[in-house]
Amino acid sequence: MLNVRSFFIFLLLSFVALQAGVVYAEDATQARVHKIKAGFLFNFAKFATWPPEVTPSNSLLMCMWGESEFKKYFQAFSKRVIKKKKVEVRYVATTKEVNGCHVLFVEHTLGESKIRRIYQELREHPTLLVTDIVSGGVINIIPGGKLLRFEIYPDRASRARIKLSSQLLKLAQIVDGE
Amino acid sequence: MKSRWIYLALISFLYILVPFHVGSDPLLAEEGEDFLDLDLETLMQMEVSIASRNPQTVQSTPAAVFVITNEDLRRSGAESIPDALRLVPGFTVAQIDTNRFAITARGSNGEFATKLLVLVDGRSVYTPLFAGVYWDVQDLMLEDVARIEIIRGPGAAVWGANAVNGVINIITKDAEDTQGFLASAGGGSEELTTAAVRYGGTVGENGHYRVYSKLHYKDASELSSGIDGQDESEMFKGGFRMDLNPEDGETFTLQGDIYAGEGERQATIPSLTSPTFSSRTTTDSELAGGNLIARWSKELSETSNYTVQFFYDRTMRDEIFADQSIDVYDLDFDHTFAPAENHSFTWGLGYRAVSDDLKRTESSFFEDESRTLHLFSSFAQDEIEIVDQTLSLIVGAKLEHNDYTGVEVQPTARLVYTPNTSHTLWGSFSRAVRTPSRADADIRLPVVAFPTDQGLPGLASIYGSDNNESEKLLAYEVGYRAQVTESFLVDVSTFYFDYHDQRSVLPGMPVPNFTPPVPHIDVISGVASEDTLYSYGGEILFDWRATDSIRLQASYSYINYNPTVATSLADAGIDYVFEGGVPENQATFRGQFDLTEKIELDAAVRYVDTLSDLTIPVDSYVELDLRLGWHITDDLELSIIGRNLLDDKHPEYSGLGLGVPSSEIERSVYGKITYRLPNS
Repeated sequence: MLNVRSFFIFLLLSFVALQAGVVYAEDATQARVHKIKAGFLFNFAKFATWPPEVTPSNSLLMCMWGESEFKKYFQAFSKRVIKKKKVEVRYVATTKEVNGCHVLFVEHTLGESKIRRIYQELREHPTLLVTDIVSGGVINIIPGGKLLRFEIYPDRASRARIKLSSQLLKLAQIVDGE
Repeated sequence: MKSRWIYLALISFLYILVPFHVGSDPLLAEEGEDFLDLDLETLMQMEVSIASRNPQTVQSTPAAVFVITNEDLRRSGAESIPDALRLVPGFTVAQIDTNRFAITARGSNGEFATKLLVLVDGRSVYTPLFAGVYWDVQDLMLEDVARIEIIRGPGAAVWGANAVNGVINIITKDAEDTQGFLASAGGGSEELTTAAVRYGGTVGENGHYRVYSKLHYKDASELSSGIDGQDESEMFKGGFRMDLNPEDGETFTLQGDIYAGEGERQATIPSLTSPTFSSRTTTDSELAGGNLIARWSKELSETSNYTVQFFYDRTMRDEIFADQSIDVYDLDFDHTFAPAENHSFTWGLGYRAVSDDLKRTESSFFEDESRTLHLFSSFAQDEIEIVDQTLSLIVGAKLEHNDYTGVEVQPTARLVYTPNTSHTLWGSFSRAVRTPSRADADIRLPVVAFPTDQGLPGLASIYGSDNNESEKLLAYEVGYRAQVTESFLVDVSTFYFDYHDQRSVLPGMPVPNFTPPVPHIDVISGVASEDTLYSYGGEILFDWRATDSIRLQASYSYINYNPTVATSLADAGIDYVFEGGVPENQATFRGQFDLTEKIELDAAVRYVDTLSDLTIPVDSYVELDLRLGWHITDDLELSIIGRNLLDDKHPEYSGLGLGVPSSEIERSVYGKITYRLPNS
């Protein structure tokens, strides 16, 4: 049973390796959260269709409201093309500036009550309002179990006359009602 | 069964002590520098559908899973699926000669290795002739392969018979992801020429298609004596794929390939007239085939969907050991739904008909030249979330009826514990069977001719038998996966495999045979299913994305495996190993380095232990592959790949029962240029 010995060594090595892994510091994962949020946003824009009065332009305007490191990642959209439309990026700080925005991302740093006011003000507006707090906008990126998830309010989307593809809906947590 | 207890004791020791409270990172998705190019599924974490048919993340899959992504393929510089599989921990890939490979997971290797199920887009490429895979015709356009999902260990409860030691699921890209023009061309010392072209466009409002073709010429290997192995080959392949979305939530896929090729090989066949009792010939293998897949899937609700798939596959091979044409027709249905909260239930039905025509060749024949066999199958699986997001149980079973052994039941139970998002502990018990192949049942194969005391020459042959049982495996597995930090992953899997009714041959009695032209003494060994054996071992993988531009991966695997040797042939002085050539220890190391934004360097080192159970043992070896890639522009990539750089040539396998001389694998250098023109 000589081979049992090598097997034992193998197990021991695995064990040591796992223990060694613990030593690795717990990294701040903020940058990664930002990247994933940005990835989500970009996909939301791909899977949404806007009413005719906002679509004619040759560009797709993505707007952001909030103050944080996230701007750096948001900026990456500006080099991209979605559905043959060039993506443009705008940073806003008032609801007036939101005019023309296809997507508006409102960041949690604004605070919950302010985000709710923004939604109330813009809910008839054909802008896809995305937030990162629960029930903040039409689509909300939220921590869900193991990873980041997103919830969709289909009724809010229809109020804004925005159509979201089923590919998007099937991955989302659907919240009925407004 | 002392070893089983040692195994269990050690496993308990290991897993009880493993800490569960270490750092937790909610974001384990596939890292990509360009986060905007990731699709939603990937963002929500990379999906794996293989272990339980339901989409699932690698991190929490209760099986030993490994995924080769398209990017891994590109950076490996692999020109073929077997080369790509060298990256997989616990896999044994031994190149026998230019066209033939011995590939397996966790033991039982050989050109005719029987325990690995391989699927390409849901189409089984496992040949019913000898229950293995013809790797030489799995020459896919690797640029269009989305990923290769690999399970080590049984997947029979879902995938059915023959998913015994492992399952490989090769998934090509959706046509939507292969839009535009791609051309690649390469050449080198072993991969003489490769050329591939693909074009993807749109069909109507919501449809996409692609068409492609690929040419591949390979140089001959070299025998250990330095003589040319005369096994050069050429392969042409072409195909298409069309994906339509007639409605939201509904997809229809139609795809197909055809191929034709030629490969030479040398063989030594027993001869009653030759003074050496054998004759060596070089013969052509003529290979051709094709397939067509139609798949329709529909989402009924968030938690419910069904898929109907039909495929047809034709294989034609005119070779020295078999002149075959085989048609496979397969219809498959599966449906997933949530019958109650915390349950996800999947069930399915399948039917397969295999119709073959096996002509007599110079060296063998089949008792029935033509047979049509039917396989009926059904499976059900329930995934139960016992404790919300922490503890899940998967129970399932596949029930099959085949014409050789009747009903086969293949159950599994898997428990997965995810105390937090970064740690997964899983354990499973499964039963899997390998059903008899056409060769097991009907082959008539002379193996060796020899002088006898009686003055007449002797001829030892193997005869298949229709009365064989399926080979059975009871598998016990435990694994642990830890995303220790955002960039560092450790994955350990261990197994104990208990096999029964393994293929063996029963010693035959010498019987004089005075049939002309040459009177001789027959020693006929019948294929039987009498052996039992066990194996145990494990694999460990470390994956460290050190920085945005450096990724390091190391793996080590160990197996204790006892192969089957045909005793009657051993009596005749021949160690005929059905399935052997399993290295006890293997290790790999891979490094991916982005030297600048445009220049990539990839290195892969692999160690393979001695294959001591073969007739001619194969020495252990260490080999190094290097790749240098240069993105001249966004659309143009140039790469230079060096393979097996540490030796002029080295053998990876030997001692084949079928008298084919052993080739060695030479050092090679290869250059490749790839041009992509995306649709604007």
